[in-house]
Formats: sequence, structure tokens, C-alpha cells
Amino acid sequence: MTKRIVYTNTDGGISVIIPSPDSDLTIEQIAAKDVPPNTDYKIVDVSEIPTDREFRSAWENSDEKIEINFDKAKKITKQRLREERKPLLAAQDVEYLKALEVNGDTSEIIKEKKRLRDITKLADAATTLDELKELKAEKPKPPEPIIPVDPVVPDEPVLPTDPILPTPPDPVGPESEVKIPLGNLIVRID
Amino acid sequence: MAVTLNASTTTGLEIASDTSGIVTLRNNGTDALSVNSGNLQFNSGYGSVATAYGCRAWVNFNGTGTVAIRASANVSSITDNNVGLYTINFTNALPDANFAAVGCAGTSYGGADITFKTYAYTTTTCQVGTSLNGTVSDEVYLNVSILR
Repeated sequence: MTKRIVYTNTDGGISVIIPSPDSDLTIEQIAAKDVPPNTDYKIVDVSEIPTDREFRSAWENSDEKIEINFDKAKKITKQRLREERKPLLAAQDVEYLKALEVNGDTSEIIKEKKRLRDITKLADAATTLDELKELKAEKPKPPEPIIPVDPVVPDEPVLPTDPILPTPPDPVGPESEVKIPLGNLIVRID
Repeated sequence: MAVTLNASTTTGLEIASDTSGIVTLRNNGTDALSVNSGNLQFNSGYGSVATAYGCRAWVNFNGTGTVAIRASANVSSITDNNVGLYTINFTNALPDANFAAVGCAGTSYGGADITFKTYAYTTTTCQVGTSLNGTVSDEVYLNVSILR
């Protein structure tokens, strides 16, 4: 079924009824049976139900569609950040004690702990749902340094090689003839 | 009146009857299945015929993204109430709320410390909830069986 039944539950949030594809009941019959008594509901297309459930607890029913209550979304984000920072704070506590043991510098640790404690204030400053989603308790990593790459050196020009000359033919022919004048022996070799 | 049907390997079909009110199917003299006082009993590797207790409803659904039922029986719908909180709505009501609701939840990647709970039983509904590391969570696979 591509239909859903939507109603406001007793907590003030939204409940969505998903019919079983194996049920022989119609959507109206399911609504009559599975919506709590004396509760207003509406039947909507599944495409009207948000698929992003990050702020599921902030869904509210408006006249036309399901909307996200921004104040509730902030609270959800703050709670998420509190959960995320728990292990990070614990790790900083360990680092702090280690530094104290050797009389080391604790200024960076104190700074990081303060950042974590104040992290939920960022949710208050956010103005959009996307900004809330992007908030993370983990310290943002510094951008990786840009390593200069070697300039591209053009290939060395290919020098022309000496042409391969054809092997001269064996000296044969008329000029290689051995001439023997009368009275003298002259050998001419080219 | 009771009826016994026996598939004998020597004589073929044997039919017997008495007044016990039991219907029995036998394989070569060994009881395989019977209906006794309204109870369906069968052996099927158990060692003797014994009463079978049925799964009265079950559902397999996806709790993430577009929440949807993959398959079910005797479940008319599920209600998505919040993150990781759902109601299973039965098509036919159970005789009482003393059933056993069992199930599990799983992710698409396997390893995760998911908690699955069932609560608030009525003859027509049962609530289920899931959490991951102590925080309510939506999961890809949710399976619930109602035994009674």
C-alpha cells in the first residue's frame, strides 16, 4: 500500500500507521480499527511522510503536511551532542590527570574541555536544520596542509639520431676491377 | 467418535474408529498427527505427538527511512510512534494479553549492541522498542512473533 494514516498521539507527536501488504483490509478499515478511539486522522500518500528521521521526535502535524518543530529539533541536537561528548570529555579528563602527574601544560586540555562543555550552545545559534545536522562534538580536524607538488618537467626533447645508413654494397663492379697494365702491376682498391 | 487412519507398509490403508473423539493419522502404526480436545498435536521429530502452540501473529518490517512492512501474518498494520517505538496491530484479536511476544532487531551491517524490548500487551496490540547503546534508534530489521 502506498497510503499512510497520520494522527497526533497523546505525547503531542505524530504517529504514522503503516498498513501491512499482506492484510486484506482496506486503508479505511485499518484506520477504523487501529487509530485510537476519538482521534482525528488523515490518510496521506507515503510520499508525504519524511524519510529523514533525524528529527523524528520533532515532527508535528500542520494542516497540510508533517513539519519539523525547529525548537524541538534543537533539543534533539543538544541531546545528541551531549551523548557524543561524553567519551570525549572522559578522554580529556585522562589527559588532564596525565599532564598533572608530570607538571605538564594543561592549557590546551582545559580549552578543549571548555569547548565540549559549550558545544550545545552551537545548537542555539543554528538557524537551519542543515546547520543542526552538521554539528558534531568531535573537534574539527584542521585542514590538511597543501603539499606543493613538483612542477611538471617537460620530457627532454628526443634528439635525432644518426640516420642508419645502408650498408654499402660489397665493392663489386667496374671500379673494383683489378687492372693489370702491361709491364706494371697496379692494384686499385676503392 | 474417533477416527484413526494408518498408512501400513504391508496392508495399505487401515481405518479404525472408537468413541474417544480423537482424530489420528499414523505412519505404519506410529502416531504422526492427531487432533485431541481441540489441540493439534504432531510428532515431526519431537519423539511423540505433542500439542503444537502456534505463532498467532508475526511481522518483519523496516524501521528506517520509509518505514514499511516486508511481510506479516495476522498483522493489519504497524504504527510508527517515534524513533525506535512502534505498535503492532493484530488483524484478529488474541483471546487474552498473556501471549509471549518475542523478536529481535538488526542493522544492515551486523555488529551493533541493539536492545529490543516488547511491552504494553493488549489483545489487539503490542508495543516494541529498539535502542542502540542506550539511545533510542531506528533499525533496518525488526522481527516480532506473537506466541500463544
